[in-house]
Amino acid sequence: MNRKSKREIFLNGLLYENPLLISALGICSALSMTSKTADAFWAGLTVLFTLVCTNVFLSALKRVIPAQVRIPCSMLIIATFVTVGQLLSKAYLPSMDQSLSDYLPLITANCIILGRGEIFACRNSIVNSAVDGFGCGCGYLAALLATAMLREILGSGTLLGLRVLSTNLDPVPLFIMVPGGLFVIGILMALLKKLLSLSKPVSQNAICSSCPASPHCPRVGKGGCTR
Amino acid sequence: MNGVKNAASSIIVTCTLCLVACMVVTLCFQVTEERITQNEQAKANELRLELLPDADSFTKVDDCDLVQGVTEIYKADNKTGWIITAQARGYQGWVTVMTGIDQSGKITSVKVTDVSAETAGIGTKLTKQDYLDQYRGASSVSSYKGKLNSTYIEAVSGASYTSEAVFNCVSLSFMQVQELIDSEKEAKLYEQKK
Repeated sequence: MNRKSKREIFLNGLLYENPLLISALGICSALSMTSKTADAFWAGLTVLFTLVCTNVFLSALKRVIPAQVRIPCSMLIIATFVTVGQLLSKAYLPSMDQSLSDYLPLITANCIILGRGEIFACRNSIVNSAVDGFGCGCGYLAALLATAMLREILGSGTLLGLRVLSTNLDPVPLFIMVPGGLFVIGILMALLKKLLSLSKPVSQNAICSSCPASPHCPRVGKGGCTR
Repeated sequence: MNGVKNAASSIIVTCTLCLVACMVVTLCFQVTEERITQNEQAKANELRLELLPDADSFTKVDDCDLVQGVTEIYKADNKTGWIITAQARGYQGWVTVMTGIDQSGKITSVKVTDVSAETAGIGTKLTKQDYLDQYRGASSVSSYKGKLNSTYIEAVSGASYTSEAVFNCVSLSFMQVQELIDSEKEAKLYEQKK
């Protein structure tokens, strides 16, 4: 596997493999958590914490955990960190717990954490896995915030609870419902893809190297499966 | 032989991880338990004080019959009123409402504490204080205009099921308070007779 600098790994998670807007992972939880910007911020932070901790542990235990039970063990580690995060937020950050009480347990089933563990942490060093978790967590947090800000402004006419739209303009409640969320995420996906293709064309090799099927795929080095 | 070895190592690793996970969660729970209980009590008390500002502290009322739909009753220790929590069916699920009612039977404030089952952006309009302020000061409520000695409560357009659920919760609270007042009167009479 080609060696990447920490900066590259971070930028990869933040932009080129952004979990929500490029890899399209965790859309379900993103839709439910982005109707308010404050909720999205706390949810993003919790995912960031869980992602970094889980990546570090999965990377540290990659030689101990047999391949047959890697997924159940990953789920166990994720669930432990989510529960710890939930208890800590209940005790020390009650405002966060109040806005996230329904969504926090959902993070256990968030496929970004499991996905990054399978794609990156179980093949790389602890430090690189932590950087990847931090990059992906920041990317997910940024994507959630952008989606939530647009949804809250267009759907409720407010931002962080403060009125920002003129009183003459009626907000469109569709945007705080699930279909509106999908619409906003779709627009952001298109925008990010366009921006990334303008700034740096993504090589097919980069896409193939992050694909979990790459060790067995006959199309690696032959243009990949998307072309 | 190799297969047995692999299976055994998988079982040992998974069981060890489960044990460690249980220990971590238990330890974390023990560390945070006291603080979580304090936070929950403080939050609930803060909410009750918001609903009945003249009260000092509250005691849960356990020794009375609950009207169907009422889930909890708290009485102000300085006898300024009650906080009634009631649930009613909305459009998609249950709506929970806390109502503060003073000693004279008038509403001091109403708070919708759970509308999470209702449609986002429609049913959730009912949590706005501007809407709930129409209940303030009412000693009897009515959902149609012109009823004598009753305050007319207007429903939110597009969220009539949730509006009705909130209205029902407040009506249940009135019934519960009436029952509490009656039972207090009965208890006093019984003591006088003794």
